[in-house]
Amino acid sequence: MLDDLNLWRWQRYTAIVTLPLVLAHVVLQLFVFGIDSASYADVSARLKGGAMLTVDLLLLVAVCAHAFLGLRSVLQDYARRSALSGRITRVTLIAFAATVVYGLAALVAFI
Amino acid sequence: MTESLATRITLEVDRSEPGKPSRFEVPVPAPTSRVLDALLYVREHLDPSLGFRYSCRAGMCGSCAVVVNGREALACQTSIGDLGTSTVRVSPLRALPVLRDVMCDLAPFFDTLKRAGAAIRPREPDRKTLRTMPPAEPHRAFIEGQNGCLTCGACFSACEWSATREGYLGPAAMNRVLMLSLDERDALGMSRLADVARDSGALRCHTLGNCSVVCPVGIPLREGMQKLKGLLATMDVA
Repeated sequence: MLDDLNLWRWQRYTAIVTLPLVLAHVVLQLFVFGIDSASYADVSARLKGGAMLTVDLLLLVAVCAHAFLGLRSVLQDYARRSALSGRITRVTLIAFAATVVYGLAALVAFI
Repeated sequence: MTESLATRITLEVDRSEPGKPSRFEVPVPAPTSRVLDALLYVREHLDPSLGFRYSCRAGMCGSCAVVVNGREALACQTSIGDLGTSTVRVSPLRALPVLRDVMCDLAPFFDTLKRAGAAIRPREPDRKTLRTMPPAEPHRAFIEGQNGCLTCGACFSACEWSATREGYLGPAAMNRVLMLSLDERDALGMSRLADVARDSGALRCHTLGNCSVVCPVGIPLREGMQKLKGLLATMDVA
């Protein structure tokens, strides 16, 4: 699951998924809900509606995964030893998980 | 070369032995004179100790690959007139140990071909000759352009990873893996992809394309890497 090939594939999958999700987020935010409705109550009501929450949750996971897999790939360019390479993978995946948890906590505050 | 027709160039050659002369004034009888002609002139008339390798002089063997003015090329196929400079610098291939002057030990490069299992394993070992793949066969059309490697090592020298990461297979070896994995006559077929589906294999390639730029026979190696990555993204790699 966490071998080089699968992580490389997941970076591609998340790139493909992120594009429509970003577009959906922008369309919902700008044209459906409007940029003026940014108060706590407005955002809370929007997220409780379900559609925005679904998009944001998927976007959170896809963007974080893509970003940290990209970071891992860049750092691997400088890893000369396989032990360091393994550590880079573990650290970036932990950072990914931590960022997703942080993002979830931010979303939960509105629900 | 005859002196009477000559215009002259300054030939700068990387020397492996300190103290050996590295700049030579060399006559160039015609713009189509090759860098190899200039190297041969130096060895015959100015410094018989100059080390370089050549064989066929026709761009077929790949043994005279060197770096000319910062770019990998076959010395026998590089016209001095096309370089457009009066000073021509010849250096050894990068990422390979230098044996003498601009002559390299190609063993690390050939080792990548060995590690990649670059020889065909016939599906029908009892046949005396391989079945001919018809030109219209889809797999042949897919890999046709990747054919014709001279194993000169120019792509290996130009690849940023070959020079900096020990164990990286390099463009020529992975191009060979691509060809064999799609060759129906090969018994290993797609299982060959497993060996390059790792960070030290095809996944590390950033597709900068230096390999394609310097290949003396114009093999689209960068495009080959993209094809290989396409297979890795979609195929079940054992």
